[in-house]
Amino acid sequence: MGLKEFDFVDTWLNRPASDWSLKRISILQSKIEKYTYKLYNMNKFGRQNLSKLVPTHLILQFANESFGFNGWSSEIVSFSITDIKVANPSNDNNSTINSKDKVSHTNKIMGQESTINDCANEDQVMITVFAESKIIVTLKDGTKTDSIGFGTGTMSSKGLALAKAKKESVSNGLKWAFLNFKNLLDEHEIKIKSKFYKDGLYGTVSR
Amino acid sequence: MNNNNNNDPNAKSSKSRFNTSIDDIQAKLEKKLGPEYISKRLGYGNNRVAYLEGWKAINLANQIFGYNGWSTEVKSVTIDFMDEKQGRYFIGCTAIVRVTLTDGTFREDIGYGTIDNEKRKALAFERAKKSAVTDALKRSLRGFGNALGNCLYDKDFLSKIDKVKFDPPDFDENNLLRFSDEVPNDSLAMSSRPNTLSANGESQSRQQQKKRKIETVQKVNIPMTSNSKNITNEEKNNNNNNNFNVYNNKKINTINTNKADTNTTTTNNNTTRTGDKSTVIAAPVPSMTNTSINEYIENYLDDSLLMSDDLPLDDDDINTITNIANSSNANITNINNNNNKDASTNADSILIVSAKTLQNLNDGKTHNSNNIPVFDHTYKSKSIKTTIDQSVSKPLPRDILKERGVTAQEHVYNGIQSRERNIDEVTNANNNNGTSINTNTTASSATINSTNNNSTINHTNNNNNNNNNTTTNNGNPLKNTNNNRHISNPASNNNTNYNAANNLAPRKEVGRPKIAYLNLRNHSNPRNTNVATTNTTSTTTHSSNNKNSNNNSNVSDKSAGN
Repeated sequence: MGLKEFDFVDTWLNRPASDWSLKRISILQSKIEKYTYKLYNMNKFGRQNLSKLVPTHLILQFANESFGFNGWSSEIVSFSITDIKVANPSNDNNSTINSKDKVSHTNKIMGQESTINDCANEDQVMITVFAESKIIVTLKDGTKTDSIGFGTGTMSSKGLALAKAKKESVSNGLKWAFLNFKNLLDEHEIKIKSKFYKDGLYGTVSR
Repeated sequence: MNNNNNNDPNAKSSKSRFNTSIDDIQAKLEKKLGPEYISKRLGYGNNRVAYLEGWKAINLANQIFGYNGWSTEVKSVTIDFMDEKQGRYFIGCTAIVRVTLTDGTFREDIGYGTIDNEKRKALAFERAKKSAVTDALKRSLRGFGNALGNCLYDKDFLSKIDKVKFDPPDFDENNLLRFSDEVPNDSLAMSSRPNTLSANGESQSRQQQKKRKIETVQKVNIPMTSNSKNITNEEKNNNNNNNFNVYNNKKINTINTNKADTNTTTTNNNTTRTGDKSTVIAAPVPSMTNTSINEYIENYLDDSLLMSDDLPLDDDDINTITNIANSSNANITNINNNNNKDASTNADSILIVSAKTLQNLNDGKTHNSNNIPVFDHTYKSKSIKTTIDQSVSKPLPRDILKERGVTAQEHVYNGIQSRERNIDEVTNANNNNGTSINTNTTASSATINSTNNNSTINHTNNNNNNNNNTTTNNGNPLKNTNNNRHISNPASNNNTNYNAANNLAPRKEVGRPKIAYLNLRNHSNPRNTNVATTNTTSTTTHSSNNKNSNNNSNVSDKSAGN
């Protein structure tokens, strides 16, 4: 019986791999909360989504400050365009191209090219693109989080709409990956409280 | 070893280039970008978007991580769509790029490139893919920190960075990687980083560059007084160098030529006319910045005449100059031994650098007024070859015109009475008359231009609209003036017309008319059609409106008389 047959989970997905990452994640979290505390508690805006409060460049800056520039890596795991809507205000006909199965987005769009072109010939066509991407952020010691980011772009030009949607989805996913470190901390705290690591495998109480 | 390096800042900086310590890189990355890196463009909805150009981003990455500290990898390039509308191609392209550092950390990001309205399909693909990859590279580099573009998303920062001034870096000839280069040991320390803006290294290398340029220009002529006795010379040797350091200008030092050189140049000109060769140091104001001085020297220190009045001077500088002049008497006598015997009689002569100094001398000092140099209008520039005497203003002789292929068209004159004579009469009658001066300037400007061998005169033709006004006449100035005369109303050639102009109040015109071709358009007045063409033969710019009004009144007088 080899070791491989246990289907060993060697990815440190959503669990801290070392004390270093715990410390650094808590530093990152404190920075984010310090920034969002006032905004989040202001009645003026109401309670908003946390990701809307913090811009991506700030999150990146916090990450670089807390982990170091060589402390983390980001990776685009998968990327797809989920939806393209061509809205024509004059006809008020919304032709929607839905993709239920996630094929390679290139083929999908190339296939639907004709429909887009028909509508695009007329003036004042607004094209809305929805994009989705999965990002994995890996820390230096192997701690990972992944997250899915979404992006939309509504422009008169198809290329610009695609560009905006794609970039937005990637940076959104990156932002959420860093915000997900909070869940990692929370889970870890719960596990410690329930003596997950102390008492045997998976929280079973040893007698 | 370390101590030596600490003493020399250049050596230290060259060492720090290869210093890839993590703290160093981290400190660099946390700095925000200076305004010299930030470009702006019009984004969506006419917003000004700040961005970092691709080559600047790559340069920054090389500078921060080292040339071997980072690598890029294109994960995927996909064409999203390609539309063709009426032979034009629209392409959208996605690229995913991963930037990896030496220790294995990487950033991945996506980039997009769109091409609109491209005629050629291949070019559209090429540009779309390239821009997509560059975009992706920039976006993934941005993940490393503020210095690689992350700060451009900060709106507070962007609003503040607009106010930060910076001098755009100049082109540096010495910093190029040439084909015949082997890297010298010294210059590696000094000018190893072409894209950094270290003021020290830049000024030094620029200094070297300027040195070459100015040494070729070293001979600047000062026109002296009409007497060849009053030649003042200025010898520059190492003694005077110290004095000129007062002017806070390194470039001036680069004008410094070795003593033997100047001596040969001066002794060669023993029997020249009044303007003897002498090197002049232009002393700029200390408040000018280094770069502005460089531009100044580049623009004005030419082979042509350098009048010292062009240089603004403070009173302090004047004092120092006179001090120099007094202290350099010994040097002058040195030259005098080498130089003209005439000049040797004037051991007391000084260098006048500005008109203010002149006045200062006249007021306070006890120098002889005979020594003060005066502008010599008969001076001939050596750099321009001329076939005729330029000191006098007169029409070209026929044979010279024939040499150049410029022939006066006689048949034009056939139907028309010679106007030159009439105008000469008018000139004799009334010197202040505007039209007479007008035609005189025509003749003189024509001669001037044809002597320069360029012989292009821009005539404004008021018959046309504004944009088509200037007709360039290549190679035949006389012909053009004749044609204009031909176009002009024959009635205006009558004597009576010009006599009527005599009745008007004489127009004051002081000095020689200035020639500025570019301003001619502004004065064109489409209303004055026929009459105004007489004006167009002149290339004078000033107060052409006056002339127009003059001629209008001519016509009105005439019509009233009829």
